[in-house]
Formats: sequence, C-alpha cells, structure tokens
Amino acid sequence: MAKFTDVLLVEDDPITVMVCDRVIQMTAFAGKVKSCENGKIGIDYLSAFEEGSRPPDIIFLDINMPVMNGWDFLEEFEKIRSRFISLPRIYLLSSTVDPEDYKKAKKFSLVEDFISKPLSKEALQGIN
Amino acid sequence: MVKASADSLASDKIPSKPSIAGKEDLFKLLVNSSPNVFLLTDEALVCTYSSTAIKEFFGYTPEEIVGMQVVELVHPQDRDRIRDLLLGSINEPNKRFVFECRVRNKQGNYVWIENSVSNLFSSTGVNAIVMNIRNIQSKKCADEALMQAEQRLSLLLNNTAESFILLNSRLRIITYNKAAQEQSPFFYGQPLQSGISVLDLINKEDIPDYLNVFEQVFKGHEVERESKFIDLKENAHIYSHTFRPILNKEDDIDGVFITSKDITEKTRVKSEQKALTDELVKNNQDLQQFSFITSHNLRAPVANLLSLLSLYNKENPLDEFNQLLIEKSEQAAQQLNQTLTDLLNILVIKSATNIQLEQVSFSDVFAIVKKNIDSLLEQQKGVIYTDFSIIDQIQYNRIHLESIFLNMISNAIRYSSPDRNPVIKVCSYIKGQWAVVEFVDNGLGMDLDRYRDRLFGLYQRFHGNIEGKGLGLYMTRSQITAMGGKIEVESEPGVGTRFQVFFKLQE
Repeated sequence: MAKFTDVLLVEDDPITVMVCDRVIQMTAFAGKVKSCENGKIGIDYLSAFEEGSRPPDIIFLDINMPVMNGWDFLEEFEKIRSRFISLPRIYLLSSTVDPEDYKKAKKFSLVEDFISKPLSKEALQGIN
Repeated sequence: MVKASADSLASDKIPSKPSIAGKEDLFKLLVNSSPNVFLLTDEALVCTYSSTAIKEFFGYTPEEIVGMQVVELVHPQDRDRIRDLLLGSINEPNKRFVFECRVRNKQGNYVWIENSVSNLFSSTGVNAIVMNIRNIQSKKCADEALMQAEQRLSLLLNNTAESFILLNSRLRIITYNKAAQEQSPFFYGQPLQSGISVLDLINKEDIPDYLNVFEQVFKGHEVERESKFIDLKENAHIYSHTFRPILNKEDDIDGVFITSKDITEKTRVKSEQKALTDELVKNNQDLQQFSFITSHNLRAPVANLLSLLSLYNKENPLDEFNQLLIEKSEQAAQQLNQTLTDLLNILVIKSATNIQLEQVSFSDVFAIVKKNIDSLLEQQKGVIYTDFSIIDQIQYNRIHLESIFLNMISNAIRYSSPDRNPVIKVCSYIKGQWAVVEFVDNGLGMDLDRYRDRLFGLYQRFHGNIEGKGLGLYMTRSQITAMGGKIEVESEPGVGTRFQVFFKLQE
C-alpha cells in the first residue's frame, strides 16, 4: 500500500525524472507518478482537472526550467487553486545554492520545504 | 609816557621777574622734569644741550650727547630723510616740523621716537634748533602689531580660492575678498561693489529662492546652496555657497556672511568614485550570481550520477534496469563535462584579457555567418536583409563578433513563428558614442514583462521542445559587455523581436 495516492513531478531533466520515478516506486511513496517537463505543462495539466476535484497529494517542483520556471508555476497555481477541494503539498526540488532562492521560497505558503537534489529515500521517508 | 610805560613795563615784570640765573634754573627745572627729551643743536646738527630725560631714554648722559652729530644716531634707513628735513628746517625759521623715526640708544637698539623740531635761530637767547623728543616705541609696536594682524588677515582672505562676502542686516555688501570679486561676474553676472544690495546682483527669477535663504539665515540658521554656471571658456562649474548669520555683541543677527567655493572637481571625483563603486558592486553581484549558477549546474549532473549509482542493483548486475542506469550515468557524466567546458569558455570571455582587436567589417562577418546558417534558413524558407551602409567597420575581436552575429541570427530563425516565413533585418547605424547593430525578426516574440530579467541570464531557457542550453544570449551579452558595450531588446509576443547591440566607438 503506497503512502500517497499520486505525486506530480514538475522537472525538465529526464535523468532526474527517471531517478525520482524509480525512487518513488521503490519506496512505495506513491501509487501514481505524473511528470511534466516544465511549469507551463504542469499548469496545463492541473488546469484540466475538473472543478471540485482532488489535486495530486504531493508536487515535487524544480526551479530552473524553460518556458515557465518553478516560481512562475507557483504564481500561476495561485490562480487555479480554488478549483481543488484540497491543496497539494509542494516541495521544491533543486540543486540551487543561491540564498535568494531559499528566501523566495518562504514567500509561498504552499511550499512545504526545500529538498536538495538528488531526491533520496531518506527525504521521502521524512514526508508523511 | 615813555617813563610811565617804562615804569609800567618795569612794574609788570617785577613780581615774576627772576634774576637771569634764577630764570635759567627755572627753565632747566621745567625741561628736566618733563618725560620728553629736549635737545638743542647748532646749524651743523651737533648737539649743544640735552635735558636729563635722555638718560632714561637712550642710556646716554647729557654730557655724552652734547657734541654728537644727532643724525648719526638715526636709523640708516631713516637717516637721509631726517637729515634733509632738519637741514631744510634751517631755512625756515619758526616753523615746527613733526616726524617719526628710529634712533639708536646706547645699547645699540633702535627705538621709535616722535620729534617736534623748531628752528629758533632767530630767537635771541636760544639760537639753536630745538627738538622735543617723545618716546613712541610702545605705541609704534602696538600700531605695527595691528597693521601686521590686518595684513595677515587680508593676506589670508585674499589668497584663498574660497570667496567671502559680508552683508549687513539690510543685505547691503559691506566687504568682500579678492576671490569673491573675481568670481562674482560668473554667479552674479556683474562685479561686486560695497554698499549695493546683494539682491540687485541676483537674477530676478532666483530672488524668491534667495529671499527664502536670507529668511532662514535671519532666523539663525546656516543655509547651504549649490549653483551652476558656465565660465568664459564654456566650462561648467559647480559652486557651493554657505550663508551664515553674523551676531553682534547683543547676540542679535545684524549681517550675513556668504562663503562660496568651487566644488566642480570635488563633485566630479565624487561622481566618478560613485560610478566606480556602483560598477564594482554590480560586478561583485554578477560574480556571486555566476558562482551560484555554476554551482547549481555542476551539482545537478553530480546529483544525477549519485542517485543513478545508488539505484544500481549490485546483487544482480544483469538486472535489466542496470543497463539503463549505465546509459544514463554516461549521459550525466557527459552533461557534467559539457557544463565544465561551457563555464571555462564563459570565464575566458569574461576575463576580457588577451582579446585581439582588429578592424572588422560587419558585412564580412555577416557573409561568414550566413554560410553557417544557410541550410537552416532554407529549411525555414527565411530571408535576411542587411544594410551596413552607414557604418561597416569597427575595432573588435573577429571571433566574438562572428559569435554575436551567429547567435542573434540563428536565434531569430530558430524562434520563428510557425505562422509565417522568417524575415530578418540586420542593419548598422551610429548613435552618439555607439555603433549599433540591429537585428529585427518577425518571429515568436517574447513576453518581456515576465522574462526581461532572465533573458540574458546564464542557463535560462524560455522555449520547450527547442534545443538550447540557456547559454547563447548569456555568452552574447558577455562578449558585448567585456568590450564595454551593451545589448537592448524589445519584443512583442506573436509579432517579433528587436535586439540592438551597442559597440563602443573608439575615441
């Protein structure tokens, strides 16, 4: 029995996607993993959810992505959050070392935490 | 009558008539009780008599002085003048001369005296030049000290570049120094003059502002103002003026002291320093940003390698998934290597040292770049129009210029609109100190409100599905700014983009 029903992975690097997918499966973290290769595709995916539906339980969000980066995604998500009956827990997944990014993350109440890449089994165990 | 008159004369004289000897004693007594020295000389200016006060005065006894040529005692610098004066007096009987001079005492020091000289050769019983000498040494010293103090003060006031103007309570000019006189035509438009109102010197439109200044001063405040003016050689000057209240003994404000100084140079140095500091701060921020981004981009493939290896099934090397992990590890290692190569290239550009400059022609560079992109252009059915007629040659590094052109033009083709064939216009012109090359396309365009900050950023990408590492515009900008240039962009989504590259023209 998986810990969560479904996880959305917004990440442009195919290797990271593959690794995350594998780690999530191995640790039975989630039953279903959906990946979107940038923020725009992630927002398009979520916008297609029907009014009053449940969002993914967890969103792992990369920061540096083409078209729409992680910050843009967070701003855009604010505009569509009302369609969901509950809110997803968003984890930023990044290799960043810029302290500005950590400060910026605090401005978004939806962001639960900052996870440094790579996504490890230990990090997933900490999410309950 | 004669008798009577003789009698009356005689009777007149009787009560006060001392004997000849007594009369002389009385005169001696009077003369010697005076603090002044009385001297008599003959026609050759040799002393024939001296009162006793001379001892206190010059250290000589009357006996020592008598027989001396008095002019010999006068200071060499005064001597000729005094001799002429005294000898001149011989021809002018009964006239009194007063003069000041320095005279040597017995100790050999010179003291200042005031001498009243009368020629009494015609007076019977005197038959001499009479000198009444007063010691004015202390008065002279005080005068000298005052004069010296005044001279020093005016020396100070007139040898400073700072200008001083003193106004009375009705804003009339009391006095001013040399610098004020010299500078006045510049900031007041006319020379200074004591007695006139300072308001008569000021431009009409500035009067309300100055009245406000003086109002503040008469409330006891010190006010500072800056003004600009152009001198005769058309150089701009910046002056700083300070207006201070002047208090009288009753502590009332009864005047204004204006000091002005040229702060043009100071202002220039200050603004240069500020520009330098700003540039340093900006460079420092850029470097810090660069280090954050490079760390991020080095960490990403390392993180991938680590996690790929952690997933490797060591118990069963033949696990099918292991094969995929090896392939992906290879990719991650290559990605790491590529990142390092890219960063090295960026550092070389950024360091801006050993960049070979030569005369480069835009049309030549364009011709070379065109060959590289011809197939891409054909594929997209695009056309490029160029016009380098206004300016074609600049001093630049050929490789950098080719790279800039290649990046700009290939971007314009790559990000063309699916709705129309690419039309790209490249032209050059001069704008002030810049040679500008403009790249205009009818491509996808960008939402600059969203992307402007990141457009030239390192590893920033804006389009999905189109290959790109997010290096092109960063490299282009680095190649431009390393040589003191800049790049500007205008864009409208769905319409197109215009990049302007500014190359600094050689002075």
